[in-house]
Amino acid sequence: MPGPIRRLLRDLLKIGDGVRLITRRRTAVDPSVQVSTSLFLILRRMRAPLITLIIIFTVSVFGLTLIPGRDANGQPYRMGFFDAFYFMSYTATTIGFGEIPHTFTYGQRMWVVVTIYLTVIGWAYALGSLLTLIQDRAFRVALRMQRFSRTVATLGSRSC
Amino acid sequence: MNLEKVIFGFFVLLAATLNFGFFIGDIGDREVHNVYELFAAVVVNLIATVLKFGDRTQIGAVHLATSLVADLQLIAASVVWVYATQVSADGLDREAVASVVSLSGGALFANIVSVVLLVVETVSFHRR
Repeated sequence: MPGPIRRLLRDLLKIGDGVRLITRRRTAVDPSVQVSTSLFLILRRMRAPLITLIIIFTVSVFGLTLIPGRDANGQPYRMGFFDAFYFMSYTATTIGFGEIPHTFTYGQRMWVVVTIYLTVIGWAYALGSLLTLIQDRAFRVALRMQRFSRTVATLGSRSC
Repeated sequence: MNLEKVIFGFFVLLAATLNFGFFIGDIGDREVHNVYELFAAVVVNLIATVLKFGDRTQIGAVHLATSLVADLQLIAASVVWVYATQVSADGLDREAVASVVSLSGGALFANIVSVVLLVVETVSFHRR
């Protein structure tokens, strides 16, 4: 891997090289591997936001399945996983269709208030991280550098 | 003691064990397979996948591949379960439960491969 790209990556990442149990000798990276460089950067940066989002969603969905509600006849019931997941999806993304399958009891609504504040923040954090990363100057330079080196590498094999 | 390695190993093993816990039992009997465990298995597998992102070594790539396979199968199992409970006319009958459990069995296989990789990597660790 050329020197400037490696330095750029080190500056961008600011930390070491990820989870490795075996320290490997660094070898030159051939162009076919460089295809994944930008994807690698996105994935690395998105780890914390994605895990936060998954945990927040899990806690919200699980709580919704535990809290008893009342159906149309006044009988108690508990929301299934799919209903809870569906509700949390359109709540977290601030779409907000409505309370399904039956109007919520106040116990459910208390929990939903907590989940609204948690999930909307979690979702915004994940989206914000992704957009910041795409906008990041160093990332865009790495993307251009990668495209350029791929073009150079395939020059000989092109039929002009 | 490296905290990052502990967390990584913890989540890989938790994913495999939750998956195994859901899988064992008569394949068609709905009473021996708890849907909460399927939910937990899906969530922990997703977290384990995210933890495996961004590792550029060969072993890291295969780890991520196994995790993606396990996620795919577990999500498919969840979809079949939702379909059987909400959409299908037959409900959660023996056939539906068998489909869900066999898909989770596939995911279990991928998780076991991941655990084997982790163990091999640990055993062959050379302290420089």
